[in-house]
Amino acid sequence: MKFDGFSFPHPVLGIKDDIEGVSSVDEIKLDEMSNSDNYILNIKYKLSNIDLEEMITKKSAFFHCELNCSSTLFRKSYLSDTSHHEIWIPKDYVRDKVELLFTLISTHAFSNYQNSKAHCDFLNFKFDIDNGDVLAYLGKGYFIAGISYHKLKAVSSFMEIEKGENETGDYNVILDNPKILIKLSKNDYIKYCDSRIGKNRECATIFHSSIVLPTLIHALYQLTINDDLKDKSWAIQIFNRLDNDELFIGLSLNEDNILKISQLILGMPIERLLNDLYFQLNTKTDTDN
Amino acid sequence: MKFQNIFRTEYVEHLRRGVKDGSLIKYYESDTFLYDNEKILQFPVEYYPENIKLIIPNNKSNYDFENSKIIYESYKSLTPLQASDIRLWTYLSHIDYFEYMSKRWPSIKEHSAVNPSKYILDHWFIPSPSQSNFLRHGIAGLWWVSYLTYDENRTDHYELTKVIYRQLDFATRTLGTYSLARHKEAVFGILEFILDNSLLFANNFEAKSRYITKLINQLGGIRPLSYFEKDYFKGILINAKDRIGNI
Repeated sequence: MKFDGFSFPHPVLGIKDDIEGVSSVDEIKLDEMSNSDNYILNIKYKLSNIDLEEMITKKSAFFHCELNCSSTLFRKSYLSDTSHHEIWIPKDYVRDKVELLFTLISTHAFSNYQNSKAHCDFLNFKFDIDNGDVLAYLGKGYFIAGISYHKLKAVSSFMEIEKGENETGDYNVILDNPKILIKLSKNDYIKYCDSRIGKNRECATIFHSSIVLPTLIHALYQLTINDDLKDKSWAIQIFNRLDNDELFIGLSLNEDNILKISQLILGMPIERLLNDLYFQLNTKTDTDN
Repeated sequence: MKFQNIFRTEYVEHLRRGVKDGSLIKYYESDTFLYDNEKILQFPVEYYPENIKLIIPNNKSNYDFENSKIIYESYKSLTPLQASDIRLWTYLSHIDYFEYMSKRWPSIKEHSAVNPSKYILDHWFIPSPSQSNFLRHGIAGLWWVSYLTYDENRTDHYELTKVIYRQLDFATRTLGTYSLARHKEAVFGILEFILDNSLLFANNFEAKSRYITKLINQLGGIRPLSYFEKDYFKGILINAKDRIGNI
């Protein structure tokens, strides 16, 4: 749909000066990380027009977001009856540029529509509104799907942590397996599974640097010297990532590049860890003052 | 079971450059495509479907509908994200289904292509993942048309796929190129209308199908088409039956 220079058969808020009021999108936030299977889009709409607000309250008008992705032929509508709209988009259904169009639409057909704040040109005119008609234009946007998704998916799709055989001391890595298996001692595994630790996002950089990174370095080194590992699913995933991601252009897997490739696959875990620690220290210092 | 092979990105680019500058065109005149085995990767999410044979086109038919069904059934587990990977389709069109490609798009072997480079690039390659590029590709097009028209609520899930393949251009240049084709309900509505009104479309199919596609597309200028379900689109076309009949 195009809105620039376009006139509808009835007054539409947000189109020229058809109707007095406000219609816009205050905020679009994309969360790529907290859910491995879905992008979570959080939108805050702003609409100010007494007649349209009443229609929203009566549920005869809804905020509408249309998603359009040319790269995966994905096109879908999402409705919201409040100005805060949360949309879950399956990551397997979009890539590259995903376009967004925001409107307020009528979900009922009715006659004699008038808006008390319409331009005087519309005075005394009443309009038939159909189900799906646009009542307000709030704007458009887009997001780029793909890069962070691959980063997140890369680790969990080829590596996992399990409980080892011994009570203490274990840190074993199994490569002869579809996924790289990290086996921790029973005591360590119990602590890892504690939701305050293992599921705590604030601990992620510590895990990535102290457990995942050395494991990946070991796995990649073994991959360069043991041809038998190349057919493992985890190895295929890694080779695919190296081939498909712009980050790795010009980099091939050999002994000289293992450390660099490991860091890139994990999104520079050492840097992230030190950034987190630095931030925590500076925050603590400020509080003390 | 082994994983599906695909070409490496750099190799796809190498082939594309060779077709553009003409140095590799002779490879497309052979019965099999000579390729560098070192430039293969395994696709980590899809197993190689074994014993898949596409029907080779002949003077009677291109068998587009039949082959679309075969390709979609063979690669049904692909997600749209996986199916947007151009390395997969480039590999399939050059290796697994090269014989089919040479017969379906014979102008290179017959030396009749006005612009051989463009002809090969259009059908064997996908320059970037986009709707029109996928539909134009010799193998990707077969998968995506079935993906857009496959209706699990019908006894024959491919009943509407058969309708879209009634005329070659309908899938690749008419309905398939509009963004309304991304909305399955719109596609189902249009195709079901054609199916239910076979007499109406017995003649001038091309002109009529263009007309109804444009009609629905124009609606998209004032209403968000993805909001509506199949019966809405069918209703629009039912109301326009007289006008369609006059074409």
